[in-house]
Amino acid sequence: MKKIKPGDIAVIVFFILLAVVSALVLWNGDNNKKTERLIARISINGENFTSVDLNSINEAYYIYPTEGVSILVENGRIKFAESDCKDKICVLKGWLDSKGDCAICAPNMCIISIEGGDIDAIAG
Amino acid sequence: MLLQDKNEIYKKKSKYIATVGILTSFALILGIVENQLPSISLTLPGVKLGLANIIVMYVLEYFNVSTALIIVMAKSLFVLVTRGIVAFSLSISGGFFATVCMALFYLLISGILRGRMSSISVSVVGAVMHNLAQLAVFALLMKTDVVFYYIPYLIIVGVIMGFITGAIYQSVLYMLKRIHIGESKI
Repeated sequence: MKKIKPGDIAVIVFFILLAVVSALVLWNGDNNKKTERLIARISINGENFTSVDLNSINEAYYIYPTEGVSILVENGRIKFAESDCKDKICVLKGWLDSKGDCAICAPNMCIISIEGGDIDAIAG
Repeated sequence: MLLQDKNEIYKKKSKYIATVGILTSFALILGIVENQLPSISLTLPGVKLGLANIIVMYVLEYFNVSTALIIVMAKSLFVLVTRGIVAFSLSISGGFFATVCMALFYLLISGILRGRMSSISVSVVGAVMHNLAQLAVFALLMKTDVVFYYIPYLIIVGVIMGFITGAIYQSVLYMLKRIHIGESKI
């Protein structure tokens, strides 16, 4: 029962194929990056906190959606500036600047995701 | 019932409890050790070896599903105490789903596919299912669907990490066998 057997290769190939298929399905249609307006949506605990139009920012500023998290907004981009969580995955993710990008801080239940389109439609 | 029979039963029971206790503490220790490895878990979400799965796989192979679930639950309760409710829900959902999937997979490879697969397959199945279950619960918790973009990435990560964990499992199996000698299912 030691070592790799042919069945193991089959299982691995199956999962890699599954990954490729799901990538084709899920990552499709994200090619029109940087062509339209960028709206960043920030949510906390699953609730919409605020939406920011990244194309209409003149001066960089911080948003504090919850205790322990600060978000930096600049023209055309947004990022987690600081977080009090342990692993800092959200901060290490860096700048988000194209449609479909998202950064998540799981311990603080905070998500930034970038969507295109009209800010009124998102707010409504 | 004879007194001797009763003694035998008590002996078996206490041996079982002691063994499960040792295995649970192994799982906890492996979880802690894994958290101390900074380089891999820091940079990318979901990239972790799942060393505790070594114990779960061992229990599934030599004991039964319910014992494995007890150990998974104990480990998750430990996560609840040390890392909070979000980490707990992710831990228990991933752990339970992966354990059940691995148990079903063991049924498959101890039945019709006997001898064609090794514990590497089991480990890969467990790792991928663990990641997918966590992602689903995460999406529910955060009420978002943006995380589903991570599915292909998490499958690949699961395959790589599952492979490594499976290989480690195979090489430490002879040590685990000192705790409990039983019949392998594969």
